[in-house]
Amino acid sequence: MSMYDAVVIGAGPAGSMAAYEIASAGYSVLMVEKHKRPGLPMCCAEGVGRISFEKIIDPKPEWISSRIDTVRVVAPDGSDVSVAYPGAGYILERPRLDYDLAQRAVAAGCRLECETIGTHVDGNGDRFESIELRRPDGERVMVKAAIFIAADGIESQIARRAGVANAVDIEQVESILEYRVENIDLKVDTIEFFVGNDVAPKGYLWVFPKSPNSANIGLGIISDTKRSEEAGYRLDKFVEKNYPGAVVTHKTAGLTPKYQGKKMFRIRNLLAAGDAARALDSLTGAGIVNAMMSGKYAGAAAAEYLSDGVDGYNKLDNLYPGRFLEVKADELSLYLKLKNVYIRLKDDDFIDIIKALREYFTENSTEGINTGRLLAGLIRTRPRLIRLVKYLL
Amino acid sequence: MPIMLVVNESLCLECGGCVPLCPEDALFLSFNCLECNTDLCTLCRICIQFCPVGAIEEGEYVDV
Ligand SMILES: Cc1cc2nc3c(=O)[nH]c(=O)nc-3n(C[C@H](O)[C@H](O)[C@H](O)COP(=O)(O)OP(=O)(O)OC[C@H]3O[C@@H](n4cnc5c(N)ncnc54)[C@H](O)[C@@H]3O)c2cc1C
Repeated sequence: MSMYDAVVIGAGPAGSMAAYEIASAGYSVLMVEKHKRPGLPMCCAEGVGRISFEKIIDPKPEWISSRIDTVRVVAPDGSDVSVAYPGAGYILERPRLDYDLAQRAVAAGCRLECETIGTHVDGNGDRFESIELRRPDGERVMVKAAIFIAADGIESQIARRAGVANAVDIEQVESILEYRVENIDLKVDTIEFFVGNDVAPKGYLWVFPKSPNSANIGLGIISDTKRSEEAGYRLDKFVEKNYPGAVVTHKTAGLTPKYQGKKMFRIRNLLAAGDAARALDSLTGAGIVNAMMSGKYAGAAAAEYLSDGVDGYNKLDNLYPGRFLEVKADELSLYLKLKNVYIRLKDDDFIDIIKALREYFTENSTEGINTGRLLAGLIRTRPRLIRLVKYLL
Repeated sequence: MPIMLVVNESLCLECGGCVPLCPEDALFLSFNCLECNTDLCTLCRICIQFCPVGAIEEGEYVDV
């Protein structure tokens, strides 16, 4: 049986960041990836906030498709607010980013095995000791390690089978459908969100420009019925209406789970990172930056754990998720609360909120947003919103 | 005839979104297709409700 200091399952942004940290610290690490090549197939709208992304890594030009300076939100009645926010974010080229992050880990000494599935970890009740790997020809092998990192994305079966994750509740999550749309004209520096019950019930629709002639256009919806009919119908209708002549060149889908707190991040010597740990912004479903960041913290914690020798889990817990959540827990919880408000908004609420935002941003810039004044404006325009404050507490 | 889940491979985008929703951990995204472990599946239909492209259907089990 082969043996490594650490095994990382999944070569997405979370896994590759973790593997890089462990390999850089001089430990042997195996990263396994189900697909032939990290980064493909791609299930993502590829948007990130610039500042938070650059805090984690210095972006290479090849990772960036477009630079976002304006955020536009459109209400159900067609009224809108455009907020100028220079340097707000990037639309990435994720297949390239994911591939490069994996190669960066390999360059640091990580062994990457593609077309290899991690099926489950095994242990003695106190510690996980090995993982079963499966190859396309059906061959199964066991690999030993001192620590494991589950970075297997939304599927998250490694953590789930280890006892850390429960099934996701369908009532809480949107079904996401996204098209790569070409042959259209759009402003390459503007991302757009469309809200309201008709466009995307309990979710939203986004237009993220990849170039002046192409975009990732997708939506997330929650409904009690079979969602495929609704999602496809609404997305097709939107594209046909707004971009006549558009050509859909690629379809993707998915789910962005909600943040569930600390319990999802560690069980014994298995650390979960990224989507596997539900480390997403629950309001928008953004998870790239959080995946990279949690992966980085998990990898650093694993390296420290390895240097200390195997001991109890208190110290490990302080390192991970401790240090990651010290930085991120408040933000993750806030977005979850905002989501609970968001799903209760009616079309009239959206119209008034967008009006209040428009008024605020005609007088103020995005620099140093005065949350108090913004909220006061919101409540003045739409007093009914007060009844939703309880979901923020 | 027993009913079971059938994955329409020409529709499935292999996004894996249905996998964590399954209360029985019966769904599994293999190298290039979604698999359902019919021994575990209780036909709760959550995955059918979720799938944004309608790739999971109910079908009749044919014993060959
Ligand atoms: C349609 C859609 C649009 C999105 N848009 C955005 C956006 O605009 N901005 C944003 O920030 N976030 C977005 N997200 C969320 C974002 O894609 C995820 O948060 C991010 O990919 C999480 O990274 P990760 O490394 O945790 O997981 P992933 O990127 O999912 O990587 C997990 C990897 O593990 C592999 N894997 C899984 N199971 C196993 C196994 N058992 N063995 C071996 N390998 C395995 C997978 O093949 C995959 O390569 C979107 C999500 C969807 C579905």
